[in-house]
Amino acid sequence: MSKLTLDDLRKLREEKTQEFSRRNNEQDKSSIIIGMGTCGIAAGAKETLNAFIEALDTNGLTNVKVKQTGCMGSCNVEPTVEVVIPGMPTVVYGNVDGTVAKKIVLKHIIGKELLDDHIQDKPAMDIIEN
Amino acid sequence: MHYTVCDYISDITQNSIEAGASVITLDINDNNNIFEVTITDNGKGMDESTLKKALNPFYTDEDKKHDREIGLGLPFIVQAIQQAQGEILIKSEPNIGTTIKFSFNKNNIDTPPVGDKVITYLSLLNFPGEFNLDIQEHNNDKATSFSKKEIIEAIGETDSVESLSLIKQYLIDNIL
Repeated sequence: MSKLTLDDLRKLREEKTQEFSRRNNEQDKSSIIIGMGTCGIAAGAKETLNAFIEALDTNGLTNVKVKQTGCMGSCNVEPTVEVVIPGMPTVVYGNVDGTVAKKIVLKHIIGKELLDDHIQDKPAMDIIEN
Repeated sequence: MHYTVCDYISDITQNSIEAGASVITLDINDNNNIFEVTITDNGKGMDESTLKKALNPFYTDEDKKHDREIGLGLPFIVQAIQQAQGEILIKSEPNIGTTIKFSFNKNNIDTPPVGDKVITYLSLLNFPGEFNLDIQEHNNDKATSFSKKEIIEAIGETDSVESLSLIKQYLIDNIL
């Protein structure tokens, strides 16, 4: 295959315009938000981002939005990821490496089931006010 | 602590985005022995005393985090540079912008690995905010560039999995 150029991207976008318009509203609201502060980067959040893109693409979930944010205040369990899926509670997961990212896609997004081991419901103990 | 040179690039470029820059240039010069990175922005800049404070790991921008007094971005890179006998130059002027130029000698044993440039560029293109990012890469005899503005104009968005997968392929095909 020859190199992908900006012109190719333009053509692909035109080809997919119809597909884009077929998206239903519910799917459009799905998003994955990855904590990409200094702490996230140091813990490997970029690999997590890559794993999500690959896993979502492989499973045909191409209209889930992948976004980034800064530090979410849980530097001790980075990389952290917020998963927003309609019909499911919004959950922040901690210690999300590439393997966990794939599990989130399969279990949470496709299977509509939470990953109990990685749910992060409060910040690190040292920053909780007594 | 960051592991690769690309991690420092991500961190420093994000500082530019958070400083409200509308134009950011990331220039990477990968020669035989030297890996040199220059990040220039037109963000809010820092005066001399703020810059001095930014190099202190126990300082962060008040706007960013209200209750915490830790800011490790710049201190991390300075530490890595010192360990590996690289060079760093920071020039900043309030309301004009900041330029950070650093270089690593690739032969020094303490120089971190370069890391994954594709994912680094992809994550910077995906980072939220209305800013243009120009990435320029050059080595001894080749050069290439990527522009966020051009990519968005071509593909429309940088946050759906569909477009991110295509942008990733575009970066893999064209990166040096």
